[in-house]
Amino acid sequence: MSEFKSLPMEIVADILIRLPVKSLRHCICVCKSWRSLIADPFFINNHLLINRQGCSTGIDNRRILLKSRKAFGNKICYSLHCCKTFTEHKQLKVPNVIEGRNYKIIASCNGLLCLFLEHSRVLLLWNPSIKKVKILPNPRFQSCSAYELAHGFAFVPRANDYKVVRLIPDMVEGSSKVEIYTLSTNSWRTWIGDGIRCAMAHHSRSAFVNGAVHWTAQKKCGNQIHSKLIIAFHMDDEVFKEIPIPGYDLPICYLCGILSVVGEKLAYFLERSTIEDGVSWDLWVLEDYGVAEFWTKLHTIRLHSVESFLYPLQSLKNGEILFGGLNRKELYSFDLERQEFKQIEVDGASFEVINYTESLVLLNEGIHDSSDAMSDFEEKEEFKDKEEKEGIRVKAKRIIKDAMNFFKCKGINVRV
Amino acid sequence: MASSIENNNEKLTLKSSDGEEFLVEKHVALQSTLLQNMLDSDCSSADVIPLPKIDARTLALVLGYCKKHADASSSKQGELNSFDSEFLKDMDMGALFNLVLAANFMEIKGLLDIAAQKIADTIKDKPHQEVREIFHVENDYTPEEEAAVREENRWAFEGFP
Repeated sequence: MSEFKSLPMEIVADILIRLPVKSLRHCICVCKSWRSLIADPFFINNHLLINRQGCSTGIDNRRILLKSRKAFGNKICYSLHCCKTFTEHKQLKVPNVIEGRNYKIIASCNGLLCLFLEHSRVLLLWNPSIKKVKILPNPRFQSCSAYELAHGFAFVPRANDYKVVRLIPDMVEGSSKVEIYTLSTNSWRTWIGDGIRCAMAHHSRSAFVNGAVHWTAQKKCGNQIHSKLIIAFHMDDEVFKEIPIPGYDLPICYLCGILSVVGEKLAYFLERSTIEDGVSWDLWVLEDYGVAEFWTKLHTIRLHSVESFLYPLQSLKNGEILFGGLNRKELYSFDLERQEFKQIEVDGASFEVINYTESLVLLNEGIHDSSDAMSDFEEKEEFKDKEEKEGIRVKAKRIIKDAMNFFKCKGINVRV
Repeated sequence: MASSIENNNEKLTLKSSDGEEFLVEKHVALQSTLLQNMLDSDCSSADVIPLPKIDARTLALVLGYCKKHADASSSKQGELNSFDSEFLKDMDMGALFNLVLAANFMEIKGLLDIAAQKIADTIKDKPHQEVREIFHVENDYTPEEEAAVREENRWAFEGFP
């Protein structure tokens, strides 16, 4: 054994940055200076960068996060899988605050998931790798229906901050209210500018690419016709923009479109059904984003070989696209080059797939998923319930008042 | 200056902390950014360059690494990778620490990377008490503080004592 020399902190940092998240949580317990090193935002950022590149450490840390509904008891499960072979790496514990509740994954970035609880309208950030949860403060505006709301979540590199954007359509005024949450201030602020005048497509999936969140929306043309379009919100510049959906010769009402990102480009999957071909998905990508944008049809993905209805879930880093079905065990990967589907051996149903990298983000914030978190959360939920009832009462009063005015104008006398 | 670098046969002498001298071909020495900067800035190659922080055993290892990488510039990357893993294979922690310190001092990026990675791989699945011993780090937590920080990171200890 050679004579021992202690290592300076810069070299310790160079060694620790190569460790997976779980090992780093052990290293926090070594001594105080190691703890402050690992909790340093600079270290957390660099650790994330190294892990995302994957190659520099020799180990590929990029994973696929799979959300699925298990066959027994309808339980929601999360698991991490290798992004090449899809072998299961580990199961993730679902935080108490969302267990058994209905929620939607808004988006995921840098190892964080942004969740929206549909009943209570609570938004939260969850880092499954370090088991931390952060419940966002109450937004300023409320809406009567959770389905009308649209959310986006992303990291903004220039501001070195995480942002959540929330769109609340206003049925009376016609334009949407917009508010933005930033993690660094832990608060909401109202976005000031010309709102957008359209309704978000129900259950529409958002897609984050080129620094902007994209939603599919519907625009009122005249009185009745609703034309579909894509609304983009740039998370750094905080400006809206409209993008037309890919041109098509069929009437729009026959089409189902799903927004996605394929090969770092905004993509749109359009469902098409013909007697000869059966059901197929046309994959369109938007070229020259922000310059002279135009849509190109890359592929037509026919479903006849799988004899089941599948819908696109997520495009993977290796160029494959994952598809899910309506039945159990229906998870397929589609190879664009070979144009073939391959079933993935995994149990469950209602799959959701996320490209995921483990990270330490939220290490210095948020709460551990414990009973404390639960009581804090339940308080919030109670408050929401109260607020909601209040909101409905106010709305009902306004509708009655409007009706009274209407009848008054027509010269009809009504008493309530 | 440029002509001296082109001359491949030129050699320079490095002196370890314990006084041993090593005669090194210039293109091998250039793997080290520190030596490269010294040679660029007028330092005569006739002089002996002292490396007071690096002992002879470590310096011999470092120069072995540099020679392989300098000579293999045109050969396949795969061959270098297997050399690298073989190079560190049976090295004890003390030797690895000396190597990482030397690579850091002499600014040899590739060697620093593989040595740091090897140390990281070794401590990856070890409990924190053992990591503390390996790094000779003094535990400055009070028992209460340590219990608190362990509790905070409780989930990471699944399967550990």
